[in-house]
Amino acid sequence: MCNICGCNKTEASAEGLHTHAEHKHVSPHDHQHNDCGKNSAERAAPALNKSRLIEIEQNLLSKNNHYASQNRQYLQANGIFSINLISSPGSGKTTLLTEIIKRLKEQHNIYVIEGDQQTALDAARIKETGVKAVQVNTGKGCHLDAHMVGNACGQLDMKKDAFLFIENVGNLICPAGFDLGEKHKVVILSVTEGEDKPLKYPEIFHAADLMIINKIDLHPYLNFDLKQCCEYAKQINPDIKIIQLSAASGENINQFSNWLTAAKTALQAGKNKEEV
Amino acid sequence: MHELSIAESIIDMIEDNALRHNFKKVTKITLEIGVLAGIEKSALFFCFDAAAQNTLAEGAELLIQDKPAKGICQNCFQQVITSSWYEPCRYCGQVGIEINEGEQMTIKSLQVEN
Repeated sequence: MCNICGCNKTEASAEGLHTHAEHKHVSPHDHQHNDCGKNSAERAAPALNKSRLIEIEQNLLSKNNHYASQNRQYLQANGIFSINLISSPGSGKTTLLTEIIKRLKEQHNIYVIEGDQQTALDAARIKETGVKAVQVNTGKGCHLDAHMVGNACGQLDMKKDAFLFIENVGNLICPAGFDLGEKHKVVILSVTEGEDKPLKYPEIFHAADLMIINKIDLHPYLNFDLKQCCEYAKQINPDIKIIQLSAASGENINQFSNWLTAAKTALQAGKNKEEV
Repeated sequence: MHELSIAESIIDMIEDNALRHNFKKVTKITLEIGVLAGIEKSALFFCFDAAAQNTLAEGAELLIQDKPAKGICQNCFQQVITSSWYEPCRYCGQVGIEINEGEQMTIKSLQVEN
């Protein structure tokens, strides 16, 4: 068969030139076919492999978003108020969480999903406060995804109207794009970091509803520009709320617990309204 | 390096589509990625090659088309094309563009063989 036009009439071939009874090829394919009755594209197709183009237009995060929406439905149906805590490593997420749990656990059921690449150390710290926690090890993964959180929710067997805190893997970049089904994202940075983090890692500051500036007790000893940091964050996200606190000293920590209980009450008021 | 999980989801989606559209090999994948999607292209190319090994997308060409970000300036209410989260409005110079496009990541098409 002629590999150029796909017809079966090859009679001779020599030095890149071959002929058929009715026509002649000179490579490249500069000849007229009147006998084949096909345009060149149609002729070429059967000779090549059966390659075709499929237009699919699918969101790359659609699978994660599907699981996230299942999580959201489950959490909403059970009145569970969920927070996704995101920060770089060492900003004090786990310390803040243990302090918040101590303040809220008498009045509320609290559950925690701890995300880390390795170890169950953080879940152990949380369990010491007396609340139920599940450790998710992401292995090579640099963020939690909605499927992992769905599985962890299954293990927690949560009571209705509870708090669920999801402590993401310490990373300001990767967790930003992965919806877990949570109600709010909260980003934490500490004064031992740079005040320009909102500009350097804008996605997470854009996605978060609340920014916590932690380790405020250390501020007198550092050059961290608090005002500039808040301005940068507002530049990325004009609606972001900001709380400056110290998990270690307890300073202003009640502002965060008040924000949490008010947001949870608002969620439940909205849910009751829907049910009426 | 969330590019690795993005690369793995590309492979998952190709495998789902292989069942639906009945193909055995992918030779080219065209993606459209918003400039604010937080994807480092070189990392995605690297991770894709690793994730595609021993799958029906092994050796496939990955083509990434950039999709510009758009938003509405909250000061002058013009529609603005932007390339970052905090760029000033090109019409009035104020900061504060509400972004409504540019974070998406889409598989546009697959070139496949039976």
